Amino acid sequence: MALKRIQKELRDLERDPPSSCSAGPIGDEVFHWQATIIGPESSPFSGGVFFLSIHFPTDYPFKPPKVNFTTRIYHPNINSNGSICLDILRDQWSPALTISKVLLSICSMLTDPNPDDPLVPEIAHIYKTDRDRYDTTAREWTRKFASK
Amino acid sequence: MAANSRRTTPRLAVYGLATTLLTVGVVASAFTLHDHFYTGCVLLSQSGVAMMILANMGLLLMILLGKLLVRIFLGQLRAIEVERLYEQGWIAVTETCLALAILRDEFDAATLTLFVFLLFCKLFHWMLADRVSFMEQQTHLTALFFVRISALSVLLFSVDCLMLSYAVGNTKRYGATMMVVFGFEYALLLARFLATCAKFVLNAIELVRGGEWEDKQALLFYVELAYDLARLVVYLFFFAAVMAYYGPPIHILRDLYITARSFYNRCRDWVRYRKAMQNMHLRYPTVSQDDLDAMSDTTCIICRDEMTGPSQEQADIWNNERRAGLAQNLSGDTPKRLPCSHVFHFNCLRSWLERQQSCPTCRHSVLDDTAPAEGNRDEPPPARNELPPARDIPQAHPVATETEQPQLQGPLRPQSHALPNTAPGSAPASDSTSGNVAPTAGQHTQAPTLWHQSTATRLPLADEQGLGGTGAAAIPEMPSLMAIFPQTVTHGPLLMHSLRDFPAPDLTTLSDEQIKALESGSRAAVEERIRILSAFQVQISHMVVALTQVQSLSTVRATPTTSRQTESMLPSVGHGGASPASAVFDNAGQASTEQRQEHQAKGKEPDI
Repeated sequence: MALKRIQKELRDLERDPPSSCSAGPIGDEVFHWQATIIGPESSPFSGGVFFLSIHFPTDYPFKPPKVNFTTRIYHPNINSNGSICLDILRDQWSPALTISKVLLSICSMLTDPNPDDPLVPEIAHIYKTDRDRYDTTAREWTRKFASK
Repeated sequence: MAANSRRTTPRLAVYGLATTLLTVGVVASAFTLHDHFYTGCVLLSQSGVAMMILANMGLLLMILLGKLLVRIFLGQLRAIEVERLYEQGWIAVTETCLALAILRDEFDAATLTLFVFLLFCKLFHWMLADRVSFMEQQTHLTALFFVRISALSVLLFSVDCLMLSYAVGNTKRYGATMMVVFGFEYALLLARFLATCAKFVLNAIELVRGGEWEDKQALLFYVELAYDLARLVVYLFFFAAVMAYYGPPIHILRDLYITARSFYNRCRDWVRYRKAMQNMHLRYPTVSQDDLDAMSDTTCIICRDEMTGPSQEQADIWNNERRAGLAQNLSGDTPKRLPCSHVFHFNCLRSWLERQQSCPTCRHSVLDDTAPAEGNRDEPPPARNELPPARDIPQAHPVATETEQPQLQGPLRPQSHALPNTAPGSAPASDSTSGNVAPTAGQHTQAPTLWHQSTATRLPLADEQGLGGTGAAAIPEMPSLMAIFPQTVTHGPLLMHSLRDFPAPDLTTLSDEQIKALESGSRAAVEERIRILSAFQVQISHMVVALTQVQSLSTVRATPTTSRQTESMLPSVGHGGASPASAVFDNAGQASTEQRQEHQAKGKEPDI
C-alpha cells in the first residue's frame, strides 16, 4: 500500500510539478526522498534553495512522513536540527495530504511564520518585536547557508 | 553511511591500537617483573591501573565481536539504523548508570560486565527490530536476508533464555541479589524479541502475498498491544521487587511511564477503533458506479487509485442488505460513503479508521453522526459538581440546579447554592428544593456575588466579640421573624432549618473552671475561643442573610449595604479567607457542632 502510493505520488509530481518545490527519491530508496524548496519571493528567504529530507513511514499514508530541513534556516518554526513544527506533520496529518501539499504548506509557512507556536522561542520573539532584525538575519542566513 | 564508517574506522583503529599496546605493555611488565605466572597474575589483579587497561581491552574485544556479528548477520547498517542505535544506546547507558546507583552496594567488576553484556544484547535486539521494520519498505528480499534474520533470531533467543534462566536460578539459590535486575531486563528483552518475531512473520507473509494483506495492520496492532501489556506486567513486577529490596528503581521510571502511557493509548485507540469499525460495512452505504460517475473526482484520496463501484442494482441490493443488518462479505475495493458524503475504498477507510476516527478529507468525526447518543453521553453534564459562582450564571440552568439537589443535604449549603438561583427564570428550580417558596425573589442576586468576591483580610476580633454578643441574644428572635413571612421569604424554611440545627454555644452553662480555662493563654484555649467565635460568626451571617431577605421584601429596592460588610468579614474568621464562601460556612458549621460536643465532653473533665 505504502509503496504503491509513494510511487503514485512520485508520478504525479513528475507529471505536474509544483512551482517552487521539487522532490524525489534518493537513489533507489523509495522511502527516503530529498526535496528542495525555493525561498518564496515575498519572504526574506527569497533567492535561497533549501534542501529537505523526507522519510516515509512504512504505514504511509496513514502516518505522516518525517520531513526535515537539511539546510540551515532562520525561522521561528524550524530549529537548528531542521525539525519543522507544523501541525499537518504531526497530529493534524490526514491521508488526503500529499508530499506536494506538505511542501506547499512549508512554503507558505516560510512566508508567514507562526510565532505563537514557535519551535525556537528566541526567533519568534524577535519576529514579533523587531521584524526588521528578523528579516535581516533571515536574509543573512539564506545568503550564507542556502545560496549556491 | 559511507562517510560515517570512514570517520569511525580510523578512530576505532587508533583506539584499538592504543588499547592493545597498553595491554601488551602491562602484561609484559607484570611477567618480566615476576618470573612465575601466578605472581604475575596477582600483581595484575591487584593493580587498579592494570585492571582498567585490561577492562578496556575487554571492551575493545566486545566492540570487535559486535562489529563481526553485525557484518555476519546484518551486513551494512543503514544510516538511520546507526542513528537510532546511538539514540537508544545513550538512553540505555544513562539508565544503566541510574541502575548502578541503586545497586551500588553490590557493584563490582562482575556486575559491570553483566551490564555491558546486557547493553550488547540490547543493541542487537534493536538492530533486529529495525531490520524487521525495514522489511516493510521492500518489495522483494533475498533468501540470504531471511537466513540471516532467522539465524540472528535464534542466537538472540537462546541468549535471552540462557540469561533469564541463569538469573532465575541465581535468585532462587541466593535470594534477591542484583540478578533480579538482570532477570527482569532479559525478560523484557525476550518480550521485545517475541514481538519482533511476530512482526517478522507478519512481514514475511505480506511479502509472500505480494504486499497486499489488509488484515496485517489489525494483527500488528494486536501484537503491539500484547507486547505493551507484557512489558507493563514485567515492569510492575520489577518495580515491586526492586522497591521491596533496594528502594525506588529510578532507572526504569521513564520506561514504566512510557509503557503505561503507550498501553493506555493503545487501549483507548482500540476502543475507539472498535466503535468505528463495528459493523463498518453495514454502517456506511456502498456507492454504485453510477453515483461514482456523477462525482467529479473518483480517486480514492487515501490510496490515490481510481474507484470502481458495483452496478446500481448490485449497490441497491447491498445497501438493502446493509439496512436489514445482514452480514456482507464485500471486497476491499468497494467504495463506501461516510456520513460527510466523502467516498473511499472500504479497505483504505478501514486502515485509516484504525488510527483516527475522522474523515480524511474533512476531518468530520466518523463517530459523531453514527452514534450521536454516545457522543452526548460522553459530555459532562453542565455545571455538575461546581459551586455556582453567581456572576458566572446570569441565567441559571434548570438542569444544572436539579443535578445539584442531592448535594443539598448540608444544612448550610442551600444558601450559597440557592441564592444564585434567585436569578430571574430559575426560581422554579429552587422551589423544588425549598418547598413553599414564593416566586417573588429576584432582588438579591447581588448578595452571593459578594460572598464570592469577598476575600477580606482584616481580622476584627473585637468587632466579632461585640457582634457575637448581640448575635447570641438575637438568635431566638429569628425563627419568629421568619414565621411572620413564611410565604414571602424566599429561603425562609431553609434558613430556619439551619439556624435550629446549629445554635451558638451557650456559654452560660459553662462552669467557672471552664471559663477560666478558656481565658488562659494556652493554644488549646485560644483555639477553643476561635471556634466559639466562628460559631457566632455563622449565626450572624445567617441572620444577616435572613434580615437582608426580609428587608428586601419590605422595601423593594433596598440594597443590603450593611450586610455586605458583615459578610465580607466571614471568610477571614479562623479559616484564612480566600476559600469559597459555602465551604467556609460548612466548615464553620461543623466547627460549631464539634465545638458543642467537645464542650459537653470536656465539661466532665477537671482540667478545662
